Amino acid sequence: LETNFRTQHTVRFYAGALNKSPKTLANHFALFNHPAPSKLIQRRIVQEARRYLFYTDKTAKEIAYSLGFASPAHFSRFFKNQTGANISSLQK
Amino acid sequence: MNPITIPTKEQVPQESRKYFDYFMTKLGMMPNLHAVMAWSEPGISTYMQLQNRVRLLDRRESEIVSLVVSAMHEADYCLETHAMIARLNGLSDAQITEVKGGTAQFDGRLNTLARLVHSILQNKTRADAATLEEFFAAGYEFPHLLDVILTIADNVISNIVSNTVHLPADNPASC
Repeated sequence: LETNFRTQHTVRFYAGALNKSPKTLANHFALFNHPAPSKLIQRRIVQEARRYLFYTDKTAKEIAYSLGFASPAHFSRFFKNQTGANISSLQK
Repeated sequence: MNPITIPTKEQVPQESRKYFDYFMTKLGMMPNLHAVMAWSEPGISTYMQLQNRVRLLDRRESEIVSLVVSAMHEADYCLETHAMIARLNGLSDAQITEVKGGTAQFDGRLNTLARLVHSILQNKTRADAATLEEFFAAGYEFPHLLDVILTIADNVISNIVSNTVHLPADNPASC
């Protein structure tokens, strides 16, 4: 996850890398009371987005592309959904 | 036994709690360094004022200073944080490793900055004259030097705090 989260956002990719189906992977995680694989991926992307906003002068557009989003609009919708906050409200 | 713990928001003085809200909103987490400093309201508020000042150095330049200072003080917590910030601002792992040694030969101007900071600390605050000359020759002026000094001071504070209380890394799973 740490190596690939900037470009790969699907559970299918990580499951494939472990030779498991997305379903099996999710079941394994549930068995150990872990947050779902999809949640972990989303959390890591949100954390990196927050770090960019806090520690760099990059624009929302630059951050969107650095984190593998197809468009800035897609990224801002994702960020709003995940955090409840608008990107512009976190930019200094 | 180390008596200093990393507090929760509820444990710190009322006046310090707003800094927990600030970091939770902005960064989604409270850095251990700032949490520990929040044990003292004057401590955290003075430090935050220093960190949030208007700067002349850009993000990359500030990180060069932080990496050189924290490496010389072997402050692991700070090194990890500043390596992360330097990466976000476009420095490669190889460049970060070089900067920790006190040079930045991948960029002439940044190199004069790294060497100046290293010289100031190495010589007990007395910069080598030739190194200072090169810094100014690279286009930096006296106000930049003052910002370098403030950035060094900021890092000396956080290096001492982190080394004194043996700060654990933030969020180890994701660093």
